[in-house]
Amino acid sequence: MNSYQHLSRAATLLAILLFAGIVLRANFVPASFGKWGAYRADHIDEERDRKPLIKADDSCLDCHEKEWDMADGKHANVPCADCHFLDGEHARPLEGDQSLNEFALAESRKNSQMVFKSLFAAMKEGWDQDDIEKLSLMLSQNEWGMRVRVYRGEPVIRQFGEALPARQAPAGDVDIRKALLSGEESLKIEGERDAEVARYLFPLKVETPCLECHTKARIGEVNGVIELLYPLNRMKLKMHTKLADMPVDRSREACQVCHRFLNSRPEKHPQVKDFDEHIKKGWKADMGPVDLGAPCLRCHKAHIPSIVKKNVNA
Amino acid sequence: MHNDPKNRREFLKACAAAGAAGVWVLLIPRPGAAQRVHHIDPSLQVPDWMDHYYAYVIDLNKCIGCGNCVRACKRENKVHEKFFRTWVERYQITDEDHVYVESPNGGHDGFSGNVAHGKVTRSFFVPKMCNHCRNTPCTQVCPVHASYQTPEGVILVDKKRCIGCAYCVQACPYGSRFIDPRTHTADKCTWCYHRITKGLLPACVTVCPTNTRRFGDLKDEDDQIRELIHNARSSVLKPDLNTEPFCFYIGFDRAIR
Repeated sequence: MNSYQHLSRAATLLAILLFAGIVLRANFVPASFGKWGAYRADHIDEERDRKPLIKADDSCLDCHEKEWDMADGKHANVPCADCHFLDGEHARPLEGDQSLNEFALAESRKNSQMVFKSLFAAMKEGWDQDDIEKLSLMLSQNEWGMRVRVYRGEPVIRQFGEALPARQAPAGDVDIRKALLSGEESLKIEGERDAEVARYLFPLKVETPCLECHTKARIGEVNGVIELLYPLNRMKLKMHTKLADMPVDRSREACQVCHRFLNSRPEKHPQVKDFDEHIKKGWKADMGPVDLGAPCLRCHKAHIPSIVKKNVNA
Repeated sequence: MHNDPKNRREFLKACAAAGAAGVWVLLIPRPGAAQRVHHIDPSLQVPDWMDHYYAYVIDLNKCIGCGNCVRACKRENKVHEKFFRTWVERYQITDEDHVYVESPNGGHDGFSGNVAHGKVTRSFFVPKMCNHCRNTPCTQVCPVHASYQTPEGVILVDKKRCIGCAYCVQACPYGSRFIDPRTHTADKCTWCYHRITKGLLPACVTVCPTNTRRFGDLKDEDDQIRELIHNARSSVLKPDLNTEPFCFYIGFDRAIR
């Protein structure tokens, strides 16, 4: 029996060491180690998950179309990020339909100025409050469903008195009060989805020609506020019509106003990563020979309102 | 059976040594099946990396030494201010064949003045970075497998495993690694792995105003980079070391080292 004792001791020692090895390995070697190779597989995911900071240059085009066109001459090949470095904060995705908001703001400014010029001309002719109200009602009868209201500001009330109750700003309307006090324009989209209404407030600041009649007002004060209300769907239609009018070679850029992913986010939209391939795949036999320069609207007609279809077909 | 106590002691000692060696072998993590990329277990959820093998091309005829790439890299990867994942060197060669090489602040702020003594006959810029070799000296010396190569050919450093021993820094023949003083771990260019796996280009390529830096996928037959590498007489740094770099240079000059 004694002759096997040394073997049993050696076997015991080996068993202890094996057990210790297994315990140490379980505690000190990461679980994902060796999944793909001699490294921690989780690190690949960690590295992949990092958020890119610098965006591709053409992503600037999404919002800064005007500046993009300006970059010419010696700046033609200089990436925007060289001077206007994009960081995580700047490159944050746009909230809501910013393109539409910008379009609505520009349209509203234009319309407000036209309303104001009409009012100014009427006032110069000596029209009174009732006449001005009639003019507002007339201006509200337009094909875009835009409604026009005019509210008096402090200098006008001081000189001519408060407007009739029906023509006063609703009590507690914070936006109008803010526009009268600060003199800053504002645009708000209100209401349910697909029935949204844009409300634009255009403050009328006192300038030198106003003082001819508004003798108690001071330059810079807010004489009143023009309020424009219009259904957003009509505004979208108007925007699409404008886009359809754009020359064919700019059609892709035009689509980018709303479809910002076209160039800047190919990873999320692989179907348009390669435009040529995308066009070849979607081209129907009855459409004639494949035209790689075809505008998006050539196929995506169903996407746009009927009024645009007419333009495209024409 | 001979029962000599001295021999028995020797025998037990040998057993203990063998056992300890066994534990040590057990502790060393074994590479998985995926390391031999052609034998991946089909049941594993493998990312799309088998479809790609990336390469980088630098056209030295085009580089103007603006330093945009260096700045972009710093910004994108939050590189320590005193170190560089990519840098630009200026070579000035005189009529007496003296070579002057400089890289002030890694080319981050561009270049100015003339450092060469004598009449400069050739002057050019050479952007440098990790060459993402196929035969990587850096990953071979890593004692904890923190440095490794992905199947797409990108060399990465797992900072959670790196112990900062700097073996890889010494092993890299291109000087593209450094120990980050903030983390005390090795750091290097990753070809912006977080960007390329999302379909974007590395930051340095994105901001290059002259298209000096090109990046592409060798497994994509339509990728221009294949044509560039094969048809444009490209070269690599230190080919004699047989590291098989995947960073190719066009317009290579014999003075470059």
